[in-house]
Amino acid sequence: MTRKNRRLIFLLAGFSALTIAAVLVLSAFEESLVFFYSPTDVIAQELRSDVPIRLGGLVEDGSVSRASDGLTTTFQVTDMREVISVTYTGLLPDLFREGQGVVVEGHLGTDGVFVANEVLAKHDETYMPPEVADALKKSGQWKGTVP
Amino acid sequence: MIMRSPKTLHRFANPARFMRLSSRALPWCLVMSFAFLLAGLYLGLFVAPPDYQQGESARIMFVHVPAAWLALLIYGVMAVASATALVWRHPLADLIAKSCAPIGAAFTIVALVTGSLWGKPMWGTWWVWDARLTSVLILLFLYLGYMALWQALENRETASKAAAILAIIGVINLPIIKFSVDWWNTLHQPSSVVKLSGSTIHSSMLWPLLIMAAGFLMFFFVVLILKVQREIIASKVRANQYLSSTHSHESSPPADRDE
Amino acid sequence: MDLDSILIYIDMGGFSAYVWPAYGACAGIMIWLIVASYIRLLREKRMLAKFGSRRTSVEKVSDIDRAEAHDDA
Repeated sequence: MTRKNRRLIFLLAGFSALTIAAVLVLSAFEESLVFFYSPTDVIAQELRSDVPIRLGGLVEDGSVSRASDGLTTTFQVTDMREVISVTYTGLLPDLFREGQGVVVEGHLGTDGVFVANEVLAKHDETYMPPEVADALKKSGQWKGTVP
Repeated sequence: MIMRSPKTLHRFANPARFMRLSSRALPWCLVMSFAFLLAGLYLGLFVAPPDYQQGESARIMFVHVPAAWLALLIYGVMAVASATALVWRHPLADLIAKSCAPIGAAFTIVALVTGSLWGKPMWGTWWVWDARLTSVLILLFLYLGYMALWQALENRETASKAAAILAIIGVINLPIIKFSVDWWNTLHQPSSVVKLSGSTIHSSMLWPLLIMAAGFLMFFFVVLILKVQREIIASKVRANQYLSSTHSHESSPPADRDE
Repeated sequence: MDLDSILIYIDMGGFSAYVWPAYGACAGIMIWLIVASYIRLLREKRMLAKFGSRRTSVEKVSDIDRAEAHDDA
């Protein structure tokens, strides 16, 4: 076996070992790599803690209402199975709208209402001009969740 | 097959030949890069329509996505070159790997900065620690660590080997970046262009994006050629310095001057 | 094109504070990359030219060429 072959085999063996290690580490830390929990997760695991948690899902259609002070917003976050009410005081990002994805950070109160101190809009991977979106909606081929 | 020393590769690994071929390719790459970038800018800033949800802010995508693609691609090139240098001791592979790092780091920074400028109005935050953003930040640190190793180690051989090993270890991060948006819940949206079910980006925005990406790729070739040529000439300068120092019986060792 | 439509264009639908800095940062970093790389190449060429004027130069057989010949086993 030449020196080159030996170097190549060492390299491949080392790299395979490293890949296995990486897969094991990533699957072990699966839980902490998750950026947000779905409403189902939150309700099933009763995630009430002092540490803020993130809740992600779609803003339910027709659930958004603004309080009279103009700053507090309440809405419902759903994953199509469970629904959690969220209340938030502050400015909302541009992409926040009904039917769109959202990630809120805060605490689940004892009354089951999630008090958010931060609201992040989640964009999906679809990019298209407004006219195409309108045309799709008119022809009934719209697959998105946006009304 | 792969085990055999590829003689044909050795021919290209000849630095003199590389100097000749790359000098001939350089003006072509430069012209193509400019043409694609100008066309991409025009299409992206004037022709492409605004997005139905994001409005005009979607135009940031035309610089963000090509930069992010290049950041990944350059890391792949750097790792392959590093492995070639490590196993077959190709002198040129070593110089290519070393030259890739600052270019890759620059494009990673572009991707992070432009992504942040898009995230603020759209998500409502400059930065989140989700799996995609964090793994791209790790990519930047891999590039910087690679460059730091070259700087820190005095001996060229040792520096080259240590840096190559780091580059190969870091390859693990590439599939993590690519699939982070599919494997875990992230704030970052999944891939729009490269996916099995077909692209979810309308052609009026896809074409400007692809043309821009072609311009970025050509630009990478231009800078890579400039940097590799510099490394080749620097090694000749080192050889000359060594020669003249032994001629004049100076006790000083050959200066390993870099940067 | 009148002034109003130019202003509307520059406003980028209210996202001018994000779109233009993104393009600016990208252009700045890319220009720096290519200019810095070119200047360094020129500087190195000048260094080599200094040796070239003396007759001790090793133009053809550089140290890397020899390194290649060493490790062919």
